[in-house]
Amino acid sequence: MINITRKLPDSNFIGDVESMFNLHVDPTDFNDNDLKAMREIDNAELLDRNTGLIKTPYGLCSVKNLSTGCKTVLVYNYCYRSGIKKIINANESGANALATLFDIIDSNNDNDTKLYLIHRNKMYMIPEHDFNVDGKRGRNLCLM
Amino acid sequence: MFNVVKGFPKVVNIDFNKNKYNLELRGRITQLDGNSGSGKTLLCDIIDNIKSDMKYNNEKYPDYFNNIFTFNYMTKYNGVSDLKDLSNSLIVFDRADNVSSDKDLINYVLSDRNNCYLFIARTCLDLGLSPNYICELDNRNGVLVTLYEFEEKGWF
Repeated sequence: MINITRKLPDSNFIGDVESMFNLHVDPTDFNDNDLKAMREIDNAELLDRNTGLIKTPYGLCSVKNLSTGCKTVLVYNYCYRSGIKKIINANESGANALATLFDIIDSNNDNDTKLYLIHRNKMYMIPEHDFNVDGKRGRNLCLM
Repeated sequence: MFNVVKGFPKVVNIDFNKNKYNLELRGRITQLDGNSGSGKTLLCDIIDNIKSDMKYNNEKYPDYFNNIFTFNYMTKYNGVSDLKDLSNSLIVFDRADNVSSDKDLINYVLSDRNNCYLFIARTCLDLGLSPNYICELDNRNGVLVTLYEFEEKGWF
């Protein structure tokens, strides 16, 4: 079940996932899920865990240059591993990052994490997932 | 001379370290989105790199890079005062998803006739943009181009 809120949370909220990633997430702790997400979303390979060097289609750079969508997934993985239960801002994630994030949340059977998601310009058809959007439950939803 | 406020649609070509962009701006305000990892933030980084490189190699790049300014809305923007001295410029805002709650910036952008704006964001910006001015960044044969989904007459 993927829990989504469309109201801006007052507290217990990770609003700036870039800062959260840059301050707390360490590439030495990356597991297979993290590496897979980096490959799927940014087409990036981790070359060196200690320096955080990655290879992307745009060249060699640091994990800090990953896309915000990819960082959102990595921050979710970090929170899940560490037992941190917070609402994560997924607004800066594109459709590809959201698809990966929903797959991971479902595979973890995680009912505690909530995503703040409100893309009023776009509509996504996301099949094969159960959603709880502000208390309303559904499957195969069109999310905006 | 790069005249920002006249002659739409305007095309901005960027070529830096094998990364090529071909951006079509249809109007004074454009919103850019796209998949994660498609190169939106890279665009701002490249513009910043070109501008710092221009200090030493001015002949290497077109003049219009002097008229392009980038702001990361979350970390590199201190308020409307940052924009007051800019004119005839293309102002690029990265990570602009929270702009809708910044009424000062919205009022400034809507009343500013001297500059052109490119907002990199996925949420609705409350700028009254019609879908004609919302585009996606897509990779076409190694060149990152803007793709507009709509081109409806009468939508301003």
